[in-house]
Amino acid sequence: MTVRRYLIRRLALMVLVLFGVTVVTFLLVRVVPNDPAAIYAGPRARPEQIQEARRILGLDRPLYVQYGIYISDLVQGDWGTSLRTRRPVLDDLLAFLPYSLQLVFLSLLVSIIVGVSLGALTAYKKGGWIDNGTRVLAIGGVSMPSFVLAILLQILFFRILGVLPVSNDIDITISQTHPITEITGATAFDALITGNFTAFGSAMEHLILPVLTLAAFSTGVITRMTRSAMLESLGQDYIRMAKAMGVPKRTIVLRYALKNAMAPVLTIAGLEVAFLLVGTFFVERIFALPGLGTYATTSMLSLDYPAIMGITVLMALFYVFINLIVDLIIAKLDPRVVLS
Amino acid sequence: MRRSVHGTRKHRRRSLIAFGVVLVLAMAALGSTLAACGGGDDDGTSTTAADSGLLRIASWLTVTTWDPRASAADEPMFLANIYEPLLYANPPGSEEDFTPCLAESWEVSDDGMTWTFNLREGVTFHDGEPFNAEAVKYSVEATQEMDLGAAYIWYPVEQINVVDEYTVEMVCSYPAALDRVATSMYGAWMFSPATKGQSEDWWNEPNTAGTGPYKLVSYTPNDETVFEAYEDYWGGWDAGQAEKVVMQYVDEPATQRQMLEAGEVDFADAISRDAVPSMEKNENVKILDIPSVQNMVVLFNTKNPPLDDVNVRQALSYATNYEDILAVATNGYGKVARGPIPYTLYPYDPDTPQYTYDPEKARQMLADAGHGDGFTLTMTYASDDAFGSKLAPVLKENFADVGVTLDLQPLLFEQQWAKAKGPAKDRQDLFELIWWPGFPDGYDTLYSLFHSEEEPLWNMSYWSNPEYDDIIDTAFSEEPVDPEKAQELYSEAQKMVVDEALSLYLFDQDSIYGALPTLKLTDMALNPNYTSVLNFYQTSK
Repeated sequence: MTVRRYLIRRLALMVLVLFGVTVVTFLLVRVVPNDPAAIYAGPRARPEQIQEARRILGLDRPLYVQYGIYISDLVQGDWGTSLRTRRPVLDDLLAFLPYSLQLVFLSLLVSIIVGVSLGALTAYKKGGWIDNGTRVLAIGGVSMPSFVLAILLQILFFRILGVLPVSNDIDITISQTHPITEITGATAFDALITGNFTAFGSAMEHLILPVLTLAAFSTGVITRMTRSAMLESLGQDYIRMAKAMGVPKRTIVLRYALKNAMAPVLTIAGLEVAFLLVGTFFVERIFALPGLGTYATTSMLSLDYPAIMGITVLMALFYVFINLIVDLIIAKLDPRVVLS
Repeated sequence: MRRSVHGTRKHRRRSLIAFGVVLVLAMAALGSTLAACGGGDDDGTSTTAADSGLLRIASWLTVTTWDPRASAADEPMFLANIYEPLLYANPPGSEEDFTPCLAESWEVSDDGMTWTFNLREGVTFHDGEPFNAEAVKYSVEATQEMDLGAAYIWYPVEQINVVDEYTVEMVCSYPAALDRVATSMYGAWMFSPATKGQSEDWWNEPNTAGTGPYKLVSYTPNDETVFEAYEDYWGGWDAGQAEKVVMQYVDEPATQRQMLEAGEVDFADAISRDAVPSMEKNENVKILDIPSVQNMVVLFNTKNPPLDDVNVRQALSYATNYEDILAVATNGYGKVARGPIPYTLYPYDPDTPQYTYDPEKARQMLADAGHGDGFTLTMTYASDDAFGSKLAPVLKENFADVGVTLDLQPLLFEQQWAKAKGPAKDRQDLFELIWWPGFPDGYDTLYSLFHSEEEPLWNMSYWSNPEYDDIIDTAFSEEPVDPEKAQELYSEAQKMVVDEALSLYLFDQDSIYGALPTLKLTDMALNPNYTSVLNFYQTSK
């Protein structure tokens, strides 16, 4: 199958996935006892005002009509208006996404670099103290919930050592003395490309603990995955052959085994991206960061259904695209994989 | 040949990993070095910046609407610094009830129907428009016309007359306490007539047009709001008052506490009561314990048996350990209630009867009412509210003591409220609620919680008594005419709802805030009548 036909098929499947996701979410947010019109009209509204709000929001119409309107607006780029911020949901999402992407990207970078290095190293030195020590760390990273790790890191680096800030994306005073020209909304990135190094330093410093927290899980997974994939490739006949031929051990590990071990690692890393984005829900809230995670949790707690729908659709899109990209890369890496 | 190729590749691969490691280390190093130098020279600038008037606030509050006509939720902190009302209500215990703001003086006709406000001269809106009688007429009429949020506070006003440039007359269809109405933190803001015809969407871009001491510079929901001083503010400016205010959205109390203790903010508005004892030992922060007009009630569903029997409701009122609940829920930062109106709010009456904890009596009363074997009740409460979650188990234990099983149902507040307004068969038996009035008058409380309602809104006792309705409505009309009689009627109404045991009246709570010791606040800075509002103009460093 050509790549183009494959892409068309995958995109067609994506439409189905989105249909399923929107139907389920649309029903779910309406099944819970909830009165969006009352939220919209505000807590002191009189019954007739709530009735009016119900009419404005179209909530007085049958559910399938509401769904139809929602979908037709959605494809035209109107994702609804948040009940809480009263702004178009799409504007809100696009305003908060860049900060979260920056967080996800840095966390992924850290977990791939650390995870692959440690994984390769421990496969190479299997059974040694490095292997055992890393195993403990990796299992710790995987099994510790991010909100616990976040608090432990806050206690250690802020309360005991007093070296790192624990909340917000940048020091408030610096944000006023060295204001950042907003381009994407990702504080550190914007500061860097506009050459505002004082603000960049502060933003990076504020990112260290959130990135460590967020990266812990995926680093653990990637380390263990790399290690077992490496061990598997190291046990293959061609490796034994290479050994017999006298190829240096380092060459065998890095040149032959690692490349073949990369396919499963890459699949996992791809899935980790989506996982990390959801991980921002906890991390951004604990560290008070202005990203999609904070927006999502606040919307959920106030039952802001247009925002909840918007977040779900965005996440679904994200998952589908990341999976597609990972599949394409793996097909490229491993000639045995056929796109179908 | 082969070897050399391998050699090169190997080298390349190794350098790739080395490059990766170096990149991460470099980023971390760069980050902290820059931050360190940044921090270094900003320790200098930060103090100057702070001294030269940057007020930094960590706040859990968000804006539902920037439209001053529609605002009725958590946004008063934002609006109250940009807009002003005609009058301010003074904190409880003040000699005078009001402080003049945009109105310098006011009078009411003997029949309580016509109110005349003499306006402050030389006031301008942020957009340059003059503030005058036309502007007052426009603001109130626009709010009435929109009829959203707290517009109901102006329902008594039938006609607004511009007497001259700085005199405005409001004529009511029935006697009403417009002085109290005019102080409201919802729906009583004065805004520029130049905004005429603008929709709610326009306001939410956001646009603002007030006369207040601060102008809005920028707003990012869930992130940061920046205000700057309005140079031409009629009140003038003193040294030490903030030129710029940054309000950072932080809704985790633990995070707020850390920011405050690190000196990153000057003021934090969500300090957990559990954290207060240890924070009080820290001399780098101060705790502000301010009375509020908020109180905690648990409304009985008087339509559901056996709660339709007043004896059962009274018995449960005796089964409740008020002191324990106060201690557990608020850590002692509050007072046991006397009826539905907090001690900070007109027309509170210290002689209102209150039930005391007496499980023996409760058991006896339940047995007399034919419920010696006990029964089961459901209580809904807002799981997102710290107080509610803490007191629910105590109440469950108290009720269990007298043989009544309390089934606890934590819900998000919006769900709890929707359920209470839903079909009668799905409604709860007990509804836990933190209440505060829409404007500083206990009439709002007595009306909202217990006045007859066609469709339930806030009266979660579902009680209806025309005699009670009449008493409080008459009392409200008597406020401007015969204050003594109004107080008498209000006292009667309070006694009535306590005797009927329509609710458990648990406690009047304090508000707890944290600040740096360098932040000075006047009595008006955290005014209990303006729930959750810090008035920036009333602070200095």
